[in-house]
Amino acid sequence: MATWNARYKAGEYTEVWAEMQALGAGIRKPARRKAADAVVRETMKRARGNVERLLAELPGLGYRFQGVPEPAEPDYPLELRIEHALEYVANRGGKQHKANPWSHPALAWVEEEEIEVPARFRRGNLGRSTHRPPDARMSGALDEIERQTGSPLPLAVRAWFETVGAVNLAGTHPMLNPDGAVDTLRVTPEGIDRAVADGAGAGFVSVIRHAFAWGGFPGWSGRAYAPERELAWLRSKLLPL
Amino acid sequence: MQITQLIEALRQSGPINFIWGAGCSGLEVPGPWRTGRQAEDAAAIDDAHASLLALCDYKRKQILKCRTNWAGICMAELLRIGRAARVLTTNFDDRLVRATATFRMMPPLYRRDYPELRDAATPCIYLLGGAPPEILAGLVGRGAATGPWIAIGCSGKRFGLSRTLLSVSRYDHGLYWIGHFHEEPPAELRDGLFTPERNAHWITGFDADSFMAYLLRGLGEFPPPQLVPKGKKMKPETCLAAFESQRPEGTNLRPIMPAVKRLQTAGSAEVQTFLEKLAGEDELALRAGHSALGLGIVANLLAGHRSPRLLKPFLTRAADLMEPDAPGDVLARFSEVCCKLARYSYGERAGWWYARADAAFAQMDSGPGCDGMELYSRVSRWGKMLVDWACFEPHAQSEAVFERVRTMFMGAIAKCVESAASPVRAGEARHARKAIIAEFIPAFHQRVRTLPAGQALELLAEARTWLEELRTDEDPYIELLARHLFCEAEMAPDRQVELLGQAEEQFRTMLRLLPGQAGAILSNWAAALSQLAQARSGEEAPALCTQADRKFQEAANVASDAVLHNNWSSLLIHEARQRGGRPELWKQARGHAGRADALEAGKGSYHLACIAGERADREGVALWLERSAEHGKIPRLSHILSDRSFEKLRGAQWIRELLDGIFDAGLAREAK
Repeated sequence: MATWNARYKAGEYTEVWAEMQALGAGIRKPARRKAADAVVRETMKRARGNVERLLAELPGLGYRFQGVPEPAEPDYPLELRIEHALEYVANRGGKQHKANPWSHPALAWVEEEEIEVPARFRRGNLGRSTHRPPDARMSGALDEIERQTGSPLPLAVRAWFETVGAVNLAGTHPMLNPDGAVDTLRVTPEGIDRAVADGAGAGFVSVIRHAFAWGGFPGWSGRAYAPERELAWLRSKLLPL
Repeated sequence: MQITQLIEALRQSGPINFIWGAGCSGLEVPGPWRTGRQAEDAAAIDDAHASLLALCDYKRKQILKCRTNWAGICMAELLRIGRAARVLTTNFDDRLVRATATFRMMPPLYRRDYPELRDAATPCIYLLGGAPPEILAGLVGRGAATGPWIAIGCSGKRFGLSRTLLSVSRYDHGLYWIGHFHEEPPAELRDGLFTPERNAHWITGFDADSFMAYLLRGLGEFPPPQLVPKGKKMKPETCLAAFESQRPEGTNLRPIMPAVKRLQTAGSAEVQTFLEKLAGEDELALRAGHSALGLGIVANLLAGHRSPRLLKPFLTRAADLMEPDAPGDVLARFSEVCCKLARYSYGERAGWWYARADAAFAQMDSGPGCDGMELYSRVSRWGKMLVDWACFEPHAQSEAVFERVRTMFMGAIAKCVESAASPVRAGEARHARKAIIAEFIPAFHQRVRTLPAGQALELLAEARTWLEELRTDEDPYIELLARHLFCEAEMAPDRQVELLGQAEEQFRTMLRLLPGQAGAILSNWAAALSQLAQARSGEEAPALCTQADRKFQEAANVASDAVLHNNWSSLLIHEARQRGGRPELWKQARGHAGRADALEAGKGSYHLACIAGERADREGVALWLERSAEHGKIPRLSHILSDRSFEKLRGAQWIRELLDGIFDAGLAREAK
């Protein structure tokens, strides 16, 4: 008999997740856990790929991610701090940090203090409010939620944040998201539904599957005049999960 | 600890103490090669601080070109708004002091004497660059409880800082050490210092500029409001430019010179107010990175017209302000101020002023790039100062000091010979060489009068050899030769007639060549005769006095001025003394001194005081000495103390007190 993962890869996405969900908390039993983890990994691998593609393609369509609004007056001390840290990395960071100075420990405070980097330093890159890659602080936040609720988060939820990170595609586009009024894919630690019972997390997977089915814009579901051409093009770039 | 927590804690606490390290300067390390030390010493210079420590103040200032940075600006603003209490800095670049000056602040700077923190003014800056390490350690160790501490820009390696901070068991108001971005704390502190028990915290993620900007925003306003026009927004770069443009200018003397001229005769209170204001501006200019020459130049100018009592405090302050840049001032105005203060002192204290000027000259660059002409301008002033020191303030080292002058002039002459080899500069070099020799001869003349005859004649023979090098130039050869012959006559009485005959020949040649200056020539001739007469006693003195008297009369018939009458009265005082105090001679002496005084206020007062002194007339002495002082015409203190006219009075307490009232030289105190 084929494994859950093999069946999942063969296209039985909803069936496999439904079977896993049916086991409830039992999914964590050693006998099931290994097989379940393989499916979770595969699902989240596809989800991460999808998110990366959307983040890469949407700006090409003219989509403007919302990010945190730039303050009316720049935060000069912050800008000075960033400038000097970047200068420090450029002078002393070595070749490995030439391409991405933000990964140098001299700039670790940006993540630690959850700094929204001003646009002029991002050079077209996304702000942390659009996409925040997984990190130790995020894991810590999940641990805290588990401690508060007294039960582990569903496997899919935990795996999402440990594989994909926090994502919020809010923004504006004349067709895809006029006036920013359409709901978009938004998965952040702050938005975790703490009432969701322990288990595989099929409900969560179903929500993100739905969001990807709408090219990251689930708000168009059930609405008239959806920009079908753009949505279809986006959908074509994504993997099913 | 996060920055927001830190700022909140500091908001609740009193003013902060800062340890301000090299990292706040962004200093480029000057290599050991720039210290001018020999290779074997260079190994001992292991870092920027040691390199800078090896230099004198002036050279350090030359190397450390200042660039405005936010750390300095923010620190100055925190000092201004009262959030920073004390800054202890080991930096040499004065950038922080410059920043406070730009905000028109002059917090006390502790540079040599360091009070305990609790006794120090707030705000204040401790400049500890040249201090031994134990000073900083002691100040921090004993002052730990005076407020919260921030150590910034510090590596912990120098001044025993790590050890010192560890020696304090608890920082009641907190110790916050700002690391450089992610860098680790010094190894020896890693586990020991940053503990909750000690209330010491290691802060990461900043450099000095950005931390100070955050701190100022948290405790005050960033950018500082003085840099931003009201109601406007300005970018930080624009603020930096605005800051630089607000830096005080150096003192510009041109617009105030008419006022200085007026002050020669204005009331003392007005002079005092003017000089105090100028002193303030000069100090601000110095703190802002300019040379502070204004007060010294003006006080020196006024010293010829106003009393030492009024000017001495300002000249003293001017000396302190001028000293840091003295080695770069080719006009040697610091030396002029020191010489003036030496005139107002005597003995060791006078020597101390000369030594200070000497030290500044010694720091001037006389390296291979310094040619004969440059050397000339320096040597001329340096040599003159040293000759004054050796001749007017005789001391155990006078001979050695004069020998240095001799060596210095010879070196400069040799350098001119070298420069003359270049066809481009040959003419200029020859001219400089002659000018040096012309300066050199009077130095010999001055010196010989302090030596025994035999030694003096040897020196005069050497001077004559140099003098002959000027023979091709009528001017100044003839005048120098005439003076030289008088000097020789003074030292060799057996050849006096012959030498005076030759001198006469020279003066007559001058009268023939420069008929328009006959009055001045005759006056100089008379003064030379008078000087010779005063060097003689016994039978030959009266004849010389008569000759000099006739010559003064001859000069007065052509032109008469205060100098002539003053010199004339000097001769008559000597003659009166020689001739047993004949009343008509005293009367004539008084008459000429009075005439000099009438022609130029105060010019004859000193001789009137001398005449009063000869008669032990206390009121007269006081009256005329005060008058000569009031008009800046009083001679140097050491001259008065050795003047024969006051011989009988010298031991009296009242005259010491009188002179102290004029010179504030501590005579009365010393006598007690």
